[in-house]
Amino acid sequence: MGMIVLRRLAFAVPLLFAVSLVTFTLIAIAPGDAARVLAGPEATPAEYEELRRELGLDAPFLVQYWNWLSGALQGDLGTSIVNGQDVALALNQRLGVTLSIVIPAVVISSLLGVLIGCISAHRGGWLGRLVDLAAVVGNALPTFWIALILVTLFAVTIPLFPAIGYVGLTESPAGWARSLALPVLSMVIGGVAGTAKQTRDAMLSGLAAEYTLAHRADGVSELAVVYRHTLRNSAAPILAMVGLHFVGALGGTVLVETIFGLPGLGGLAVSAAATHDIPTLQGVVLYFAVLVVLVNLVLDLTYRRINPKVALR
Amino acid sequence: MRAPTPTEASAPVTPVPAAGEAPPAAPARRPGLLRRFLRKPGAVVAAAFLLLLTLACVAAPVVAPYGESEAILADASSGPSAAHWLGTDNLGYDVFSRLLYGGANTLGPAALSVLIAGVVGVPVGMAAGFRAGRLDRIVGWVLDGVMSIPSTIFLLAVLAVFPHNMTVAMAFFGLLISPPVARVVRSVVLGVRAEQYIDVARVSGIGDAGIIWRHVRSKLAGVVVVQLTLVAGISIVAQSGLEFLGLGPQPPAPTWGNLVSTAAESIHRQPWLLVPTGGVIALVVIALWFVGDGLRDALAERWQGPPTTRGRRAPAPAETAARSRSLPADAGVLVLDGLTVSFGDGADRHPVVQDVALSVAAGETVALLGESGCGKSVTARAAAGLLPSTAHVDAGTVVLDGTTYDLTGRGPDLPRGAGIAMIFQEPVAALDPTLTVGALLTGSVRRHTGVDRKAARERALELVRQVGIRDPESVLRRYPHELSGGMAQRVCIARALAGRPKVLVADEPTTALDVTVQQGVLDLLRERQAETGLGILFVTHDWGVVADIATRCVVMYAGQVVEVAGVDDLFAGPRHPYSRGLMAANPAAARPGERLTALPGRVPAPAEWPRGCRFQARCPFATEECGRGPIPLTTCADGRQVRCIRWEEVAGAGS
Repeated sequence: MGMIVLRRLAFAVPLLFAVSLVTFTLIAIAPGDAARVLAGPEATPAEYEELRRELGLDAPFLVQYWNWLSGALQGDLGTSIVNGQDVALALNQRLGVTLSIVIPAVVISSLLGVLIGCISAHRGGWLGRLVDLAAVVGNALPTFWIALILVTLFAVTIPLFPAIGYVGLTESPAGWARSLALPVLSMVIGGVAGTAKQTRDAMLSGLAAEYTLAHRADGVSELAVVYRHTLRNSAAPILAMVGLHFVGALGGTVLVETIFGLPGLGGLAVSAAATHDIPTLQGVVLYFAVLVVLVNLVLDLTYRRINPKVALR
Repeated sequence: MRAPTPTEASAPVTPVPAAGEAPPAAPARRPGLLRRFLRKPGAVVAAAFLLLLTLACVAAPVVAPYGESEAILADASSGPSAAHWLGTDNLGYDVFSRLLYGGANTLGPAALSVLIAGVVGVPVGMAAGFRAGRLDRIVGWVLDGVMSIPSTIFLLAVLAVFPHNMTVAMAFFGLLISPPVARVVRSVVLGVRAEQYIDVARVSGIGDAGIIWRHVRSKLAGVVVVQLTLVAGISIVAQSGLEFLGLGPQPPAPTWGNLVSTAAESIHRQPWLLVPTGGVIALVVIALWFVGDGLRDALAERWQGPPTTRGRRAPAPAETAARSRSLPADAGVLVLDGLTVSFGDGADRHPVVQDVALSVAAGETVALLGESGCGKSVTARAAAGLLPSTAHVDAGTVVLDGTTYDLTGRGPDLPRGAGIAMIFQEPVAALDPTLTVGALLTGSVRRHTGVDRKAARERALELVRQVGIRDPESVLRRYPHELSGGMAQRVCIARALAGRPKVLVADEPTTALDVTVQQGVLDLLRERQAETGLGILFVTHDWGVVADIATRCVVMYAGQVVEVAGVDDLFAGPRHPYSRGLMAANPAAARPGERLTALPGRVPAPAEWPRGCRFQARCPFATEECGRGPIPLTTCADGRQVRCIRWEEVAGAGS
């Protein structure tokens, strides 16, 4: 188990490295730089050059990358161009908000999606067709639009939840839950649709497998065939879907946090993009990549517990 | 895979294409892809909608009722009306016109993303599929990496660098979304490799790349198009999200995303605006999905052939009257009677098994013989109540150890596992990959006997020993993939015996095994039978196995029983021309130097069953009379049964 964790993490290192290098390259080849933004349009060429030197932007590309990387490895992600705040500190403050949207959204939509997918695969008929249709519609509705509709319905028309703003968990647990209800729900809708469809497809192929016939031939009850054996055998595609959904939900925070005015990483990324705050944006990309690696590790370990074929390889 | 699906039960045996032959092209009369696509109303409506919308967006300056930045303040914030079909926003812009103008801004970059996803994904997938091996692993790893990047956040970085440049952003998005395209292409290539390499290239010795390419080409185009419709949907949603955040072209330039964000600003005063602005995005994505789905179905029909629409008459009363006499209920531990099973719906519903009766006595092994498509697997599965849900049991009862069960109900409550057990052709596939042998067997024992865990484990050990496995303790700890085929079949037999059944249905249990292992499994079955008095219904097409294990034979052809005889009698003199032909075609019986007789022709598909004798087209003894009407199953003076009006001549003719 320990070995597996280490090996997976070792595999993740090149990924993180590649992601940061690509982002860095992208920024390096771009016209204009942070100094230009910071100096403002009225700055003299001398002031601009001075600022460039200060920010280390006059160094060759690889040196700049190395400076950033060696800093990042020690937990130093630089300072924001816009407000001079320490990037790592700002990100850490906001991480909790993002996780408290993404984790409930992924957990709820996975559980609901798996349940609906199982039922529809098992019962078939109109229910199966309904799940198929709902999956199409659910995937087609843009998250930001769902969020706006939910605001219209449950914050404007019937004021059940706040339309905007975040309440800290320590401030008021009930207020915290209410402030997260609509953001989480707007992510759950698309997620349930996708997970239900994936589960249904995986379950249908599992139910058609020879070992399922053998279970039935041995008098295993239909309920146990579906929810014990087939579900267990369908774990791989379902967990893969959960992983992809997590990646999607992380991306979705960009929109949802902006719409609901939540102080998380996604909202920060949007404002950083709008203000060309490259160090902050770099930091968010890195954090997201690390989160994805960690979640994939957890899913991988879960899967290994379920499927011995992988575990023993 | 022996699941009796309708395709298997009814599909004619396709001859393997000869080496070097062109890929199996669709028969000339079959309608083209476009025609088949046009038959799907949902997909056609969706395609028409997309086409109209795209044209209207491109021609917006001509088509739109108002100009791109023509704001009529007097009409601001109005609902839908004759003048403004979808209403106006707070600045007095006509929403309908703005959506058309915005369409070009949004659809253009999204189309670029689709193009790039295709241009990158297809070659990468092909390379991985064709070269396989290490390249495939590296590509797979890179694709995994790319898919685990949250693309939205990455696009933010791109847009920070190229402000408001949607074209660049969506070009990057095309790259990020190419992995699923590459995956699909790779799996098509690998699939074709697996089929064609074995079937054709290896036989002919022709280099595989050329042949695979020819087969890949015919499948790839459609699969890629389907995948790209999905990519298009995802691209539009992602792009409009970025536009919504204000990272796309700046207002007043319209895009679908910033039209939604304008709507969001007046969410309190005019919530209606959200409906058309977000709705158009959702509609386009849904329409793309329907087009993709319709294309996929149209493509699938090319490979499977369209369902035959030729109706088939219901069994004539005469045919029903010609039923075989039902056997007495005490004739055996398993008595199947009057079994008729059909597949399909409406006009496409065809019987695949008709009025089949057979019985198995305690301690007896009855072989159920016939070519593929004769209905023997369907018969065997129906006896255990294990037909797929697509099968309709129109009539039939089964008597198990004295109790009669009606098979027509939905999932008859047969004592599966305890009264009647089953073993299968692919033993490893029949074992649940997530369960150890021990978990599987103790589960079976507890289900059938209700003993506690410890006693169940004892019994599991005993069962494993009984099926001749040495080192039972260690085998109980193993997973199916750690077992050889022969060992897996022994485990399956142990499981089948766990409930102390009276009857065992064995569906070609030795076909997939090595010859050396086959004998061991047959010996084991014989031994367990001698000890427990088990009745065995043994489905097979192997005469060697029949001679080895069977006491009686039931020969089936085109859904009917055509001959029933003791095994020695049958070998000594078959009375149905089909049994005779089948026996002559047995390669094991061929003598050296003698030409192997093949049985000419093929089993007719259920939709093609002739009115009279179903074997007449392939029968050397056929006369005009054979085509006149259904042939009854005749019981001869010696108790043998045969469905042939000229059986005496067949029996008389030397071999």
